Amino acid sequence: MLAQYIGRRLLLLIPLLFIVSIISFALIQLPPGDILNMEVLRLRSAGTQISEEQVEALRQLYGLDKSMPEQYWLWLSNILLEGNFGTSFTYVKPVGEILAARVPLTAAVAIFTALFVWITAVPIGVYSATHQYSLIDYFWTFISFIGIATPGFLLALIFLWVAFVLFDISAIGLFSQQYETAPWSWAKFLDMLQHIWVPIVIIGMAGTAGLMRTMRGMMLDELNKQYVITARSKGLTEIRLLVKYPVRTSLNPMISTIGWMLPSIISGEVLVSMVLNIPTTGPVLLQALLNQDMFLAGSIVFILSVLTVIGTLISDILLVWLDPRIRYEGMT
Amino acid sequence: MRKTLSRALQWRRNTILLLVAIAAVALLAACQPQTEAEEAAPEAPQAADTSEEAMPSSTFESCQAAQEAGMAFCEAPMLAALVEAGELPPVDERLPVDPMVGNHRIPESQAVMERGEYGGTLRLLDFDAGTIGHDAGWISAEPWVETEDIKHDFATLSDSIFTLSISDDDMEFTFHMRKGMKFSNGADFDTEDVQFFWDHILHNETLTPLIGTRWRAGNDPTGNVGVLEVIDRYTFKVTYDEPYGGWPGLFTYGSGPHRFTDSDYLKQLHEDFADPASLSALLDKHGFEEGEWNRLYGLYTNGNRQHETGLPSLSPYILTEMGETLAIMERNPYYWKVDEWGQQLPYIDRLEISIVPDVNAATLKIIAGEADMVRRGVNPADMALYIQNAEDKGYEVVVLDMHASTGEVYLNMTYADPAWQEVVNDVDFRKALSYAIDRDTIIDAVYSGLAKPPQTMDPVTDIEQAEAILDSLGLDERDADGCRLTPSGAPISISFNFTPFTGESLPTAEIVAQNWNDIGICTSVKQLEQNLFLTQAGANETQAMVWWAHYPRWPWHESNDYIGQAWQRHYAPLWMAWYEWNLGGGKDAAENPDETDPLVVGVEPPQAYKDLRTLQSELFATSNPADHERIWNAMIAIFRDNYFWISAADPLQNPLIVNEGLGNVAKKGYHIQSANEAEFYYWQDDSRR
Repeated sequence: MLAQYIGRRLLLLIPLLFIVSIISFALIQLPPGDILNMEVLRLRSAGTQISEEQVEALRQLYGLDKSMPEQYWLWLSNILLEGNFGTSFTYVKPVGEILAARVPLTAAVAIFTALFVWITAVPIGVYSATHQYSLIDYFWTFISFIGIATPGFLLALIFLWVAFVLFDISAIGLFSQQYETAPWSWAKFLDMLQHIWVPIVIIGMAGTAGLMRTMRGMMLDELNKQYVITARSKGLTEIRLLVKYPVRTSLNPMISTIGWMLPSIISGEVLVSMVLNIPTTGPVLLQALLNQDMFLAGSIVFILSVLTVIGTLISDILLVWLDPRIRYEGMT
Repeated sequence: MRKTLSRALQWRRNTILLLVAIAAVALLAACQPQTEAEEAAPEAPQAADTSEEAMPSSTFESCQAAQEAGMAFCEAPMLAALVEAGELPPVDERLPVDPMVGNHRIPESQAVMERGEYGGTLRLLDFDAGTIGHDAGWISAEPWVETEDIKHDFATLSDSIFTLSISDDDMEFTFHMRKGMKFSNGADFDTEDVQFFWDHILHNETLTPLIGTRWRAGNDPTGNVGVLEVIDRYTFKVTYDEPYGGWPGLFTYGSGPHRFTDSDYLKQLHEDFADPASLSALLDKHGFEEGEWNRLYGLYTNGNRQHETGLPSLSPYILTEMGETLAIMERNPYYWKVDEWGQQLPYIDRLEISIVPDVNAATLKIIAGEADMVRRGVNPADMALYIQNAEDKGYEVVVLDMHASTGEVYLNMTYADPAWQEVVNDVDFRKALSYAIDRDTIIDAVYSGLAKPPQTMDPVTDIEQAEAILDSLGLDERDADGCRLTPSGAPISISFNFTPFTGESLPTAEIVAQNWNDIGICTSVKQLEQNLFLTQAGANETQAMVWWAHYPRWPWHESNDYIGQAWQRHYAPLWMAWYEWNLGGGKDAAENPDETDPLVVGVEPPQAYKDLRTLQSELFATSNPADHERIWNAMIAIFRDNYFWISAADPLQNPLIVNEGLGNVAKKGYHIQSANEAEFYYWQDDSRR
């Protein structure tokens, strides 16, 4: 039954992804004007004179002399047949190359952030629920409200300011200067670990706070249920009882959000990354959208959509598998 | 049992607290050693110097020693080591026989170049992730010939890459090259490279689909393209069939009309020359389609967004490492300029360019003292922050004149609204609007005082007179909202557009709109997305705008600004269309044109605008500096008397961030210029060398 379920879901993906690809491409084409206006303005603002032959050469360089459907078809067929996402206008580099340079770090930040969120939020949530209305529960409730209410970029700005005032450094970037262009090495990895915790804590703050609250709420629902009371009356140790039953059930929201992690591994946290100057894909996407760099922006949006769809599928399968109470839709 | 649980959780809580504590310690650990390392780093070379007693105390002494030993020129220790190792030819063989000596651009009134010492690193900032092009791009620019300052005064025309002689009829331009000059890869730079550029780049339809007006006689779209004649290995001539004496004025600034690169290198990317197999491998590597070699070519040669290493150039520094957030450039061992003492330039060994996401991150770098020279990354609004930290962090905030204005006011003379057309073509109406603008408030509020009232236009602010003029024009009736009515009784309202391309446009637009509302010209402000703004302006759908332009202070740079086109048409789109249609060859080129469409055929401009265009053509025809001055003054008089646009402030000033230990930085003159003569910079203190 599970295999059938997965198969049906996979088949549904095909038309969905096709529609997603059209929307991704069309959305980026919607605003008036094109990349060329932006590029010429950028050059002029930097003090560079630009002549009409340069503009015309740029137009050809960017392939803007082709029609829209033609551009779309070229883009999609290259992706499907050759795995080639096209060439970014602003970077004049293949989109794949740009992403390859940034995805590993983006993924590292995303995965570490997720671990940070789970490691902190689950125990705190459980503790808050089992000690409802205690001083410590209030303390964490307070902290989590701050965490949810404060946008990550603001925390990042505050952090930068504190680091500047206290330690006299501009705490931006993910590496010390000497490692920035160096190839990967153990020393570079250690250097990265020294810097990476800042974005992890800042990006993870909101997630931690949210998950903490969800954990607490779910636990409170479960703790008063009959089976907990029964288990306790049978003499199970409290720890064993908690971990084996209510915590397991309360983890459902965590599982269902694993799907969202997949796109975030690629997309990165845009604003925090901008503020902290972390070379993730987030700032690239933002710039690409602002510059109407359609192949770059379109490809990132497309990849993100695909990952979201696949992530949701994985979450659904995991949930079905972990929690037999959830039924296959339309299977009854 | 509750107790056991709470103890267990107590333990967990303690663990969390412990983690927090560890994190806090890590924070300290992460930050502290870095600052120590930064402080300690510059001292290391000093220690090395003192340990070797035989070493001369300055690089200049070793230079003198080399000259006594018979060398004509001397070089940086970094290159001397490579010569020693047999990896480079000796300096005398690397330089042309007649290298360019000293600085030709910065006038002595702005700075006198001192003798520098070799060594060290200059830290710069850039913005576009994964590419460089701002401050470092400008440093790499080498114009064909130079004038003093960026005013393009032909009386100060001097040699740079070439020495230029212009024939008496202003039609023949003979360029003499430097014998023995080389590209950064050691290849000779001679007329073969020029010929390659001319025949296979400029006249290649794939690379240059349209040959621009600057290559056409008189800078006119209908003019004929010049003819190149190679005379010998180091001399070539360009001939036009009409006088075009102003031609050099278009390339005494920036990187010239073309940035030369070794033709043998370019042949690997050029379809007509490259080995097909290796070309298609390169195309494949960069994700281009077969036949898209022009895109590949663009990728390697784009100097404005450089990211590929290995491009041979004539610049003082060449890109050697390109990361996502850091780029390294190192000295060009074949650089063709020397100082007056015979030392090959540049003095500083390498550039370290941090790529930050935006101006705010640049500000943080600046106030932390982590950049040595910043032009593009400065934000006048952050002046207070810069100054507050300057002394502690060892940098200077030098206030210099800008070459461009970021918030000028344009009225569209050809906007097709009947009420607007009734009034806007009367120069007194435009004058009244100019008189109403409170320039002092704009200078204070928008530019924090870092600007002057317009120098070449009437800076008068006189609201009473503005109202008197409007009354005398028959605009004395008002409607219920207090808005003035035209003589025929229609209400005038100005819809004032801007796009936040520069931070100055929003506050300027708001102040100006307020000023105009105060005299009864009802004005509303509308912010548009950049592309939409440009599209509307081009389609003659914008009534008035705040946009940026270059000052009416030098005639050559961005000369289209003055005739109504600063990238997009601004003050009279239909006058420009009229010129293109009637005189620019539009009528002959068009197939089945819609002659009823005003965007195609335009509207005949008034005599003053025609005079302006005629004067500009005359300006481009002659190379005589006295004629330039006369013609240019006549053009300025037309701008001033006709209020084709309204200048809010001119010049603006901008802070330049300069490390206080950096020598040979001009602290007078133009912002963009002081930041570019980097081959002369040197570290005054040997701790930075």
